[in-house]
Amino acid sequence: MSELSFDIAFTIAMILMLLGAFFSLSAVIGLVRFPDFLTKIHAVSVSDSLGVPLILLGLMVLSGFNLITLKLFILIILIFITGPMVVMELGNYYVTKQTDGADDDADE
Amino acid sequence: MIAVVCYLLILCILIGTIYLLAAKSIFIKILTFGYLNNIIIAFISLYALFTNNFSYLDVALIYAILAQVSTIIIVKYMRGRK
Amino acid sequence: MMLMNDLFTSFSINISEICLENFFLLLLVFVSCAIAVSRSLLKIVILSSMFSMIMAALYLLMAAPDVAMTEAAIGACISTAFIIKSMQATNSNEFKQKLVSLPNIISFFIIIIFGEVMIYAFIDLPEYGQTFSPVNSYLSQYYIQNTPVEIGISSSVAAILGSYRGFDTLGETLVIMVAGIVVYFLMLQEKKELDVSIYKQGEIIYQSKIWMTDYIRVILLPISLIFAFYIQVHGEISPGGGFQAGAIIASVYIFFYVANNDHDHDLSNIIKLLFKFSLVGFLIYISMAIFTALMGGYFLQYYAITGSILGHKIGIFIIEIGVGITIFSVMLMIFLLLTHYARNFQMVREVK
Repeated sequence: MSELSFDIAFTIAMILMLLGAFFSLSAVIGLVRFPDFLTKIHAVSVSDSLGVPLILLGLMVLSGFNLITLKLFILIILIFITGPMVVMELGNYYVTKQTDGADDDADE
Repeated sequence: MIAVVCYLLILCILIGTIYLLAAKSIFIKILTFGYLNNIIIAFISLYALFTNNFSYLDVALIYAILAQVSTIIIVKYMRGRK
Repeated sequence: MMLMNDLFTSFSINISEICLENFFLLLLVFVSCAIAVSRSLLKIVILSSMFSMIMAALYLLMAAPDVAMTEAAIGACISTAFIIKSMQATNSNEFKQKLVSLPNIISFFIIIIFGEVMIYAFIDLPEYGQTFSPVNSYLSQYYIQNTPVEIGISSSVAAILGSYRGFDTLGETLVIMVAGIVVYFLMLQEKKELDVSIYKQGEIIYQSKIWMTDYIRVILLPISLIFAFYIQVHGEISPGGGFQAGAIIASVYIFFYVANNDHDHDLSNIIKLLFKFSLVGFLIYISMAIFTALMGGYFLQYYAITGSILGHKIGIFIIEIGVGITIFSVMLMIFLLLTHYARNFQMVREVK
């Protein structure tokens, strides 16, 4: 790793991390501003598939080629696989629930 | 440059936490809870690489597995009751 | 990575770390107020899980990765699973009280008074991170300087946990095992003699299809098990050890059972097997202690195993295995006992 501040790996990593942070921010703004629950799921899935993995990909580029890259890679795979699964379970329950669910939304 | 990424992530955590507290429906709370977990994992990985303590990445891995598992348990409970 | 040291320095506390810690502490205050005010039990479960997560991030900012790992492992999954199963096993008619009522107002003022007394008491404590506080002066310096010399492993936390304060860890493992035994004898009941057809009418429709968690848990379980063994074995070098590894394995098996759609599976045999496992785990710990006494040293003096510093490594390794087996079996056993009890409870409730 050279001493200059602006070599190519640093630039690529910074671009990736800034993109990732931008997508996460857009996900949370979408979460707050979308009208219905099923549309909010669309906003959160952006963060699970693009926001966090892009930040971790930038960190992978920054850290060279050693064990740390492997751990970050396993972390990316975990979030890719289990993140959308959790969101889909929630959405499926919301769509197929047979009761009124009156005590789910109550503030009491 | 790193400060910009850090600032954006902290903004996401702040807005997400306030929405977690202010939302009235239980579904939105569970969704925001899952989103906040992923953002905190990204924040911990960032902090781990920038302070050169690479043992913090193990903490991020454990956090990732178990946070998703606990969200599934809550949703399965809500399915199972009548 | 040396480029990034202009923002954070490794061994001093500067303004950016203080800002981050204060930010997370402020979030904690918000979440605690929401837990106190909220009226529905399910929302309180989610909010307290979020509390544990923010605490785990805060422990990392305060440079305590062992504590952060344990907090994430136990506060995330195990306590949430236990509370959810207890909610399934009890009556859900909560006694709802208005927020502004006389008992609540009296308790509010009592808590304010106690808070004031506590603030008055801890103004005199030393500042956070001060170098010459009583905690940092004598005993911490002794542990940090003498761990490579007397014990020979890299992690001071594992050295204190296993060797310097070995009796504490023995007591903790004993406490967890006793808790498992107590819940076992309280909750292991035989299935009540009821008409099984009434129970089967309550099945939910989606159970007839193969669901996506059936695919994902097949790959999640082996990866998590390998990672948990890595954490268990590397307890002497990096943050980890028996407690965290046991909690991870128990949590992943809990997910395996929860994602299972087969509700008629009889759990009594697995519960009895796990009961024996927990006894075996504690037995490993006690056997190592008695073995050191038989080799000529004191009780739990690892030096006497080989007469050199290598004995410490062997001793700590084996007791971590015992601790890991105990934690895994007790956590999973308590969860399965709560499931078993909840099924009986639901069968009785549906008939009535």
